[in-house]
Amino acid sequence: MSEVVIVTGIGDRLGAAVAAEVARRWPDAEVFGLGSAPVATPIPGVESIRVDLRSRTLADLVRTLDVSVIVHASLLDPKVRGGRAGQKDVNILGTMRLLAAAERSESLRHVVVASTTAVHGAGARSPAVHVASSAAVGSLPDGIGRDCVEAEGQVRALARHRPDATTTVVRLADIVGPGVETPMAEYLRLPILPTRLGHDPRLQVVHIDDAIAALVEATITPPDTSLVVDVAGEGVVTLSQAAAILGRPWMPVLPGLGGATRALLGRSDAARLTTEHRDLLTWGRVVDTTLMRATVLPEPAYTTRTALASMAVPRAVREGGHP
Amino acid sequence: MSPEPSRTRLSVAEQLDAWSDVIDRRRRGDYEIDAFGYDEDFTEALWFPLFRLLYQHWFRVEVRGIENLPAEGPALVVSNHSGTIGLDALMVQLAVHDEHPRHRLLRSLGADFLFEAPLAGSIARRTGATRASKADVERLFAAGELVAVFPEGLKGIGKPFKNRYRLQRFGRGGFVSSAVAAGVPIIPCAVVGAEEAYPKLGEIPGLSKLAGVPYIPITPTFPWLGVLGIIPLPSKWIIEFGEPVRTDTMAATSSDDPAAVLEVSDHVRATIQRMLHAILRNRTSVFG
Repeated sequence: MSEVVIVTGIGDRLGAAVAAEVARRWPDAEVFGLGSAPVATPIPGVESIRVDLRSRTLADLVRTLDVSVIVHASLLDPKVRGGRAGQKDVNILGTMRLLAAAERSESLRHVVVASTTAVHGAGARSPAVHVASSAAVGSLPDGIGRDCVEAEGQVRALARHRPDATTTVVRLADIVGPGVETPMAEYLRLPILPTRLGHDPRLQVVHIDDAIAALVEATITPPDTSLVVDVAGEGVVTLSQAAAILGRPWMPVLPGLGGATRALLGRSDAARLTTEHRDLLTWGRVVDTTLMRATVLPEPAYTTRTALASMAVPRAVREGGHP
Repeated sequence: MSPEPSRTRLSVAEQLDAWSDVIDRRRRGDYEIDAFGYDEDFTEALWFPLFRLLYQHWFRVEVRGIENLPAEGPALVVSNHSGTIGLDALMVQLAVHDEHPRHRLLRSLGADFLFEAPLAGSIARRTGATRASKADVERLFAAGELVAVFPEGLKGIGKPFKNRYRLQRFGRGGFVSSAVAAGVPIIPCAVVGAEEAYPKLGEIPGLSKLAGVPYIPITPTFPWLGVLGIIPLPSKWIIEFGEPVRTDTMAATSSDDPAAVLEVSDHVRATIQRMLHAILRNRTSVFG
């Protein structure tokens, strides 16, 4: 029997690339890509379906397709319509609909969810190194991290109700790389990186190629028992070190002066940090990558340092003085 | 001559050279930090040299019993804590680094407020400290690190001068529990001299909340001499490491037996108090 795979979030680069790569690596599988908007360019090997995850038709779709593998990759989509409110709505309700449909699907075998290491939170009292089982200290601010905590709860419920199926939650560190549009990547592209005075947090990032590879591996190779795994570029850098690697200046700012900083940078649109992102840039976050190596990403192509370097200002520009 | 480059004695020219190299490396981000945030480049090239001046020329630290620290593998150094601002943690770290044949790094466990504070928290991580928490300690032991804890915490450094060298309460003994669970030896450590470096005569009331610190001390020189008042008095320091207390012979289950944990904690505390008294008895002068 051939496998039927659906991948959500193909309007975003992550979902589109995962769908394409699953189709390429797994010729037996029929791959359907779900997106809320029509895709600009067709993805080879992937049939795209325009559907809002919150709509009632989703359940019919999952049933009629006899879906066996679901890859939920839309939670981290940075460009959802409706801003943060719209993002939260589609993340919470969309995941509920999707997993409810999955639970009722008799053909279901495996579910993969692209989550974020932001579920660990970021605070002065966080453990120095998070392991997948460690819970967040205190409550999380509104943001993708909190959406994903809820989504992960729904995944656990699904795993309980469907012991015949497996689930893999892949928690990705902040995704970076050329052309990537996550909040972290956008931040790292600012001409001057505003930092919080007196704080130089420890950071990890993951290159988009490694994030894709981890999700594809998680899709193609289901675990024996349901798995939650943190994925990040190995090694740790401080924020000031990241700026040095990128070849960008950084500027410590007093808390509360974000508006003044934006004015100073002449970028009123940029660096409007969410609370979630500001916490990260104050307290930092590091996850253990041992489990990642043993499961979804045995051979990462990038470390945190080389992932950052992939976004560095070219040396010629740095030395030629053309900012 | 040993091939080991002496990290403790550099000429002024060599030191300046080293500093210009390190500034260059830092501008390029060309250094490594570990998962806890320890930055060897910063610590060895900038931080230690600065405080070595205090260590060698101001406090003239004398170290005893360095052979009680293992050559490798995890151990837990438990020390008294005194001197108003906790400079003793730094001096013990430097003592281990400079006097131990393997130049081991001592990783201090700090209180929550330290890591919540701007600047101090970043520097603490950069120089090898981490938060005193079960998860972090377990991880350090598993990595074979030498860990230091100052169980008196703020009660130790913040006690008035009249209570000098009187050990304060040791808390619930969380450090003992972690050491027993990992079968890691506990090494008692006594620091003499820190009390007299910053004798805390009183506190300036009211201001501490505003400044976000636990207290603002009054010492013989602070705040009377302004900025100069933060220069410590040149007391002579003695740091002694006692014989290891083995925990690998205890059952691992005793790590969550409060009675067993408190017994070890009391024993370690009594040992440190005894060491302090012995050093003080033989001390002829505070500043000599």
